[in-house]
Amino acid sequence: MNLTVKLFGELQELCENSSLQLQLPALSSVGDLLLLARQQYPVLADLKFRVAVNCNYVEDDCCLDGANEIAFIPAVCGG
Amino acid sequence: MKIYCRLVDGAASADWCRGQLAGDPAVGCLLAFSGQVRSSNNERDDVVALCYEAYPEMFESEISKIADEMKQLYQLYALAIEHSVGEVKLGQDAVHVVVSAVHRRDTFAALEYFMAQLKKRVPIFKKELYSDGTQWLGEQQ
Repeated sequence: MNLTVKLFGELQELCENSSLQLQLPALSSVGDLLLLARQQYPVLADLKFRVAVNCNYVEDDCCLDGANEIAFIPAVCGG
Repeated sequence: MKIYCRLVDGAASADWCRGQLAGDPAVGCLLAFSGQVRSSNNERDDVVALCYEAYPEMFESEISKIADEMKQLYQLYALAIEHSVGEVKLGQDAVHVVVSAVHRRDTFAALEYFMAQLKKRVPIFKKELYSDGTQWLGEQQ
């Protein structure tokens, strides 16, 4: 499946893009996505960020089938 | 519980939040919070402005989830938040929050809960601007 991952804040600056395009097999998980993203974009390797699928924070074992919108969420800092 | 939330370019204004909640005869208390840009943090004292980014769709959904939690915890009537995106200068406001309830006790507790959750999970990202550079900030309490 072809996935578009939205980037924000520091991640957007470091990747010099507002989104990433990644390809993964069906039934892949968020953990698989993170592994691939960090391989293809080594700048992400040492950064801490959360993953959101369809506007919900998810863990590494979340399956990406049915994921309409994926985002990497760096440290939040509202207020 | 009624929820009003929006992002605005540049400095936030107190008027919108209060305007959504004021005048309702069902409530006896409106409590307001304003967050203002200051010149110092733990590491530097030469901040000249802040620049905010947000994930708008998730901003709204996460605010809604927090409001649902608050509804279980407090006898709250309504919540309004206006948060800045883009550049906000020293002394200008970056966020306004107003909560309303029948009695004041619930509003104080609810507002503290909301601000703590806002800083922990609502996807807003903050960069400090200095005279000699910039820095994205990590999560704060």
